Amino acid sequence: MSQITLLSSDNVEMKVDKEVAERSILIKNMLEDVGETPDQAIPIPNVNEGVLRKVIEWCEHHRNDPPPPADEDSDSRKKSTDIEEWDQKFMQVDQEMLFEIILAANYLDIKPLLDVGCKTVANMIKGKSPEEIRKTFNIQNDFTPEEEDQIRRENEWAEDR
Amino acid sequence: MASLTNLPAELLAQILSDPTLTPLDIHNCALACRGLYDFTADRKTKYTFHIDHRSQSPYKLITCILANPRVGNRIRRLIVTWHRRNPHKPKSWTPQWLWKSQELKQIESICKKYNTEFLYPVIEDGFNSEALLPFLLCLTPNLESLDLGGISPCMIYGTDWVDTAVRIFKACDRSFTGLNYKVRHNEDDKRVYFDSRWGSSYRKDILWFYSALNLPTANRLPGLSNIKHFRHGPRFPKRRKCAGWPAEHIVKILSLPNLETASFYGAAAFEPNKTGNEYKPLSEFAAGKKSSIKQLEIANCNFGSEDYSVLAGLTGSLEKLRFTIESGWHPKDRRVSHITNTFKKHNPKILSPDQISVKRSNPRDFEFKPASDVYFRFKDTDRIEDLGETLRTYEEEKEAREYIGSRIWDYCDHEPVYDGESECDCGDYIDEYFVHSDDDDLYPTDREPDDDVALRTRDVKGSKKRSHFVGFT
Repeated sequence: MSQITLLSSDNVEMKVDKEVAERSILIKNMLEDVGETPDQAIPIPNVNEGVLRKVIEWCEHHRNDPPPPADEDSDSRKKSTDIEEWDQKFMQVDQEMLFEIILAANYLDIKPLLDVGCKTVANMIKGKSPEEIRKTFNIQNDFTPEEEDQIRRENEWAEDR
Repeated sequence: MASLTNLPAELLAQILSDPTLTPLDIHNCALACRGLYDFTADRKTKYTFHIDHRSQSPYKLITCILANPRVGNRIRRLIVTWHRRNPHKPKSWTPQWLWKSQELKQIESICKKYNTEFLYPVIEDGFNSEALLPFLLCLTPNLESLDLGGISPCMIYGTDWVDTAVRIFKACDRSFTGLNYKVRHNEDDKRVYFDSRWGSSYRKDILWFYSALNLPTANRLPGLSNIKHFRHGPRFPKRRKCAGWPAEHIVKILSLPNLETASFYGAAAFEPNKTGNEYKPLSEFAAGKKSSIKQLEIANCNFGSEDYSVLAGLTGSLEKLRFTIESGWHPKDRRVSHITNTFKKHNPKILSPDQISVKRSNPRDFEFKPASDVYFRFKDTDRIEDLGETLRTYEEEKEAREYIGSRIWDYCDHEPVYDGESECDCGDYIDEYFVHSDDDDLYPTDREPDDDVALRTRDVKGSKKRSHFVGFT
């Protein structure tokens, strides 16, 4: 099986099976444009070594998964709410790494990984009070008490959406 | 360093559009910090409009929009659910909504602006929240999808009795003092009283939404101008074959300028305002203008034979058709081929045969499924309260039986046999304690807490049949 080399933003080279790397639509399109397996490393300027390793780990585990539906707004993709057990464990990383994985999945165009990442964050938001959300994501409350009151009043109807 | 607040907008949007996040979660996010608030404040949203539910959520929505009109601009999809007052469930007797005078002024001016003055008295009354639906359409210019659900036009489920209506509305009326109802013994007086007090809100067959549809095109409500997807369910309860909802509204809905898909269940081409529900052909309403509709579903509607041609004539860009014909079908019925051919004729080239489904109804077709994305946060609380009410009623009835049994025992010089059904011959006791005067309130609503197990008899002077004890809950 042919292999390609990826070059992370911190100049670390990583060899990876072409089939695995092609889980990324960005890399797949790039390879298709070149036409043959390149001898040189493919630079991934926005992703550092640690994150790239995690992304490759995910791609390796999911190498045999069917490709996601071409339709951007596919309902099935949005409606599936469960995260596989392996993915749940995979996403048990510190918050900075989680957001880096999401950004990398977005940059590399790996939709299923992006979905898993976003769902993980959504699960972290679910059922939390504003204060708990601030604590979880280390957010500074920049509202005045009056503004907070005003927003609460504005959103009284939220319960029925 | 990557964090939630500095993720790109499209990623934040994907996270917050996760279907498992409730509106409350989004609201809590908005309250976390200014960045998240700005992001969520103008997001498109759907709203579930619970008509006459005891939570009174539609009224709360309107007060929010009056205070902050930006909320109305966000609503893209409306799903309607119906919770009319049930005579057998006092918990469902949603009380009157009381507006602030400033809100009423705003409502009046909005009604004037959009030529919907007819809505104002009903909204002001605060009994029929269905009237808030067309009013909301004045405030939601970006609405794209409206699902009316299975409608229930009558404000009180399954009753035509003015007594029941008066009893329920009296219980709901926040301004009721107990002194303004002295006309109960004359049926005509009752009706006059009822009409004068609640008549403006009370409608049996017609929705206020239909009145809004009747407005001339030039005055079309902003909320109807951008509707792309529309769904109208059947009418519940359906007591007669012809008692669907008026099919003339199909024609009016098809004339909405941006309509793409529509489903209509259980309409009937009849004249709802006349007794006998006479047939009223759809041709009387068709203006000849072609609809922009691409996908049309008509299920279990009751039409005259020429109505199919009228409907087909309104289409011109149809890509998909699903038609189910209500009962009365037999092997020689030519409606199926007639409908297929007429729609094909009016939509040549675009409507391919594999996209046409015309068949007779089977029981599965009668089943109307509510919108899959309806949000009903009261489901559990309603169920628990209903269960609580059933238990309470049972306990009260049990207690009452014991109480009555013991009283009869006290006053009778013979051993009573009370099984809750049989009659007692001890009339004197009942006359003395249970006969009420004309001024008695037959429908007490302002009971003291201790009065929970109060019992009265359906007493008729001189009658021996006095052991039908009625528990008021």
